[in-house]
Amino acid sequence: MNPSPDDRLVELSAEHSLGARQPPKHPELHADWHLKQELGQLPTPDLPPAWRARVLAQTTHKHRRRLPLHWLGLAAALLLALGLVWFQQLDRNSAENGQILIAITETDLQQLQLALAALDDSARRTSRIAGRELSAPFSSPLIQLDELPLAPTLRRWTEPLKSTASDRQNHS
Amino acid sequence: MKTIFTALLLCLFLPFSAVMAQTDDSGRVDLAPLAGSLGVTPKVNINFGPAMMAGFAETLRQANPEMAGVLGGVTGLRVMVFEGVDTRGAEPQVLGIIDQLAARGWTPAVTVEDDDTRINLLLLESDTAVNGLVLLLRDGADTAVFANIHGTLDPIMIGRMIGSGQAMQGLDLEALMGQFQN
Repeated sequence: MNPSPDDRLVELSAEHSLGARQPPKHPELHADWHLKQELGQLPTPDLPPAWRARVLAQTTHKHRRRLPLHWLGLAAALLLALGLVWFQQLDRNSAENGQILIAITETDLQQLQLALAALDDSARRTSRIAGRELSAPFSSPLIQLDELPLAPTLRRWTEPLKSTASDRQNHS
Repeated sequence: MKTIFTALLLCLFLPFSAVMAQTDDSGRVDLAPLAGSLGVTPKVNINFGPAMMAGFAETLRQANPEMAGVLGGVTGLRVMVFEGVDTRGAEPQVLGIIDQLAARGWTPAVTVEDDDTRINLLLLESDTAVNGLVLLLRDGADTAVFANIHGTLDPIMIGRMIGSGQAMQGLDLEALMGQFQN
């Protein structure tokens, strides 16, 4: 047998009064309301540890997946390196664009002149001594004409040439 | 743990290598121990860093563009001149520095030993430029010149300097200094 619409209204009203904050005035509903309150205050039972771990693993992997720490460190180092290179390039470009970083004074230029003069003098001294040392072995012939096997024949050819050359010098 | 350690090492190495790649100081040599071995202060002691050299290059750009170009490549210039000292006292230190530089890949470009004059010129070369030059001159028993130039040096200028001592020809600093007096 189906309940009448009036019965339904009474059931709905009773259910509503059980969910209310204040206890209902009807004695039967009052006991039910208290029972419901006491059940609501009971502690929630914990999940078995294995279940709990599985549930947590499923939720955290989906929502809190991040890169490993060493990859983050590597990325930070790379960014820092690029930043430094960029900053130095910027600094170099500004210097090349004609911005003098330090105002050069007359004293500074005199010191530069002194340094360059010292370098110039040292280089001259080096080239002079090195040149002298190098030219010494070439100044006198290493092989004398008399030591050659065909010396008399060669002397016969070279003597007329030498005398002709000295005659020309005397005439001029 | 191993990967974290490797990452930390890279964190330290990457910025450092980036900076080193930009500022090549390989040609810089500390000449202070040589002065210490002689036990006297140098008569001329000049030490210019990159900022000063850039300043010189800019100052000279109008008057002598060629010299400005040469100086623009220099990031450091150190010259010490000693007079009236017994230079033989510095000989062990000089030979020690020459050995150290040779071990670091420097080339002994010029070595002169003439009576009591000893000259050593060492170069640090790359494929296209000279990155460092060290001159160690001991003349007689009383004069010493120790110099270090580093940066990106023009090999032609270095060749001219070694070959004829005419590297600074054409630089009229007297005229340039007149600008400051006017």
